[in-house]
Amino acid sequence: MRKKNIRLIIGIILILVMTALFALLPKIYNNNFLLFNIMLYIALAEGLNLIYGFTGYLPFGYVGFFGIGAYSASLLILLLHVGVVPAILLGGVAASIVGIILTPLLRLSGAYFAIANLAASQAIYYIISNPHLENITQGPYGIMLSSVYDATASYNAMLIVMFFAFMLVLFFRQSRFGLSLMAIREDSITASVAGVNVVLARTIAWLLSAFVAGLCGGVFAWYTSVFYPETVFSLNISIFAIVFVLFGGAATLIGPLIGTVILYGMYNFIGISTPQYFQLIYGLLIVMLIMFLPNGVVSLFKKVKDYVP
Amino acid sequence: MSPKEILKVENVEKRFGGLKALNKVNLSVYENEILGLVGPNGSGKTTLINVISGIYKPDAGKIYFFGKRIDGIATYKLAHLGINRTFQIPKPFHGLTVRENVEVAALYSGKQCLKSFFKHLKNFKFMEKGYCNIEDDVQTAISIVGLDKLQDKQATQLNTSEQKLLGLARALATKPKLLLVDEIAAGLNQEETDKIAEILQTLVKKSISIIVVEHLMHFIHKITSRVVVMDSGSPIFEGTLEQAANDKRVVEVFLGG
Repeated sequence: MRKKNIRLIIGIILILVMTALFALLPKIYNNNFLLFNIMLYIALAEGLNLIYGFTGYLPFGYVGFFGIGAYSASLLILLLHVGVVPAILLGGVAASIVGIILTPLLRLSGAYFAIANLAASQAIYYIISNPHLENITQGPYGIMLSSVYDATASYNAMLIVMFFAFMLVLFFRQSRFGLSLMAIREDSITASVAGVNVVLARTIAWLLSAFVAGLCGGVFAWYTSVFYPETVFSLNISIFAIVFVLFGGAATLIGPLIGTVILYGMYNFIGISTPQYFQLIYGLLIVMLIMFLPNGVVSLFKKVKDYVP
Repeated sequence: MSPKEILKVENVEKRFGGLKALNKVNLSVYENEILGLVGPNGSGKTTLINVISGIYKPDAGKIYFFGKRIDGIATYKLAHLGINRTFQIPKPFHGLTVRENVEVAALYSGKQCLKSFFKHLKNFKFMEKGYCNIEDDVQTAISIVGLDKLQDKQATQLNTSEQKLLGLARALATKPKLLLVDEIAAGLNQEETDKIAEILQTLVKKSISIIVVEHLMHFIHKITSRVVVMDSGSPIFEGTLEQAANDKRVVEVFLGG
């Protein structure tokens, strides 16, 4: 039990340090856009970690929740004149509501779930970008939120969302609820024999995961203020988040963080200046990782694994 | 005074497509007994265990546990009520440690834990440690099966016999009143089998009733007081193992007519 408490303290310190770091960095580093995107992907990766890391469902269509969050928040602001912050929170709720509609997908497993979830996110994309809905969603012409644009406030909002995502993952990592989720991941029948309400537990994880993505989408919409359906439903967002989680190590707090910082950092360092090498190095890195560290970078800390948050 | 009936299976049927895996099964389990369930492969023993433990829903019939109807109730609720089981092929939580495997089950060991939480809440003592201390339950379950030394190992590192013991510990951590043990001795050596027999006999003394499904007759003979023989989905005999050996139908089923 003591190890677990030490892990909790390390986790809390890590969260506070990361939050403080991203709060202070804009003062000394002027690429605000890059910092925002790193926070965005950390939050998305941690949100995806809730469902993938703890229950084993790989949501390839995770971006669907992100897009729903972005559109719901924007439309609430533009059409119903809701305040920005409540609109973003409602964007998260809207993503969870779509999550409820998609709960039957949780009956599928493995690749079947991943494909069905991917299809669902594409369906949502086509509904929203449908030109017949131009009066509501602007169809394929995108959203303009410039009336409420506020770079500093939206940056801070992202900071809060990232903090929230961290806290959720830490809760999952430390709590009995998280333990029963991991039991479901390992064997759902044995979990139910052990007394775990499998359907309820994984639905909660699923909806929280969707909620985080919805919040990210809402804040992203506020920060960029102009976007198209293909921007917020881009499959690359799902793929990035998944790769970051896998690279760092699922079901831990620190794994997705490491994954995002290293890989997204690399993407910005060489991916933009020399994209041809980037693809090559990226590909090699992922192949090496799967061959030698299938459980992600965190598996390097084998000796102290009980203390890794 | 006749012993108290804790489980009553009444006319239970289960079909898989055209196959009647269970056909009008009637069965009772009494307090503090080990009931042996024997029969050739495909006679419906494991299906019956799956139906009682809620993995399958029966197509017809009723099941009573302490007089309460339980057929069709979800497995996790049955675990809370006090029915638990082990699996023929061990299905531990591979990525978790032995202790965590048992911990998951102990979290749900009945409602005593939650009750004591509210009691402490009322008396403003909820900050005190131990209001819901599952650690003792976990350690008790692990030491009953003798896995103390392995509790920090991952379940996937255990051998088959240890995984079977872990399955038993996991079941015990839910504090069952009825334990369904499905072919736990199969594939184990004599020494391991004797150890499990001993464990099961101590459990009965702690007022846990047990149904044992097994092919190994010396194991059944050693621990059970009563056996039910099944064939093609129905019980065909009930009595002691010696009586079964002299029963015409039983001999026919096992040796062919």
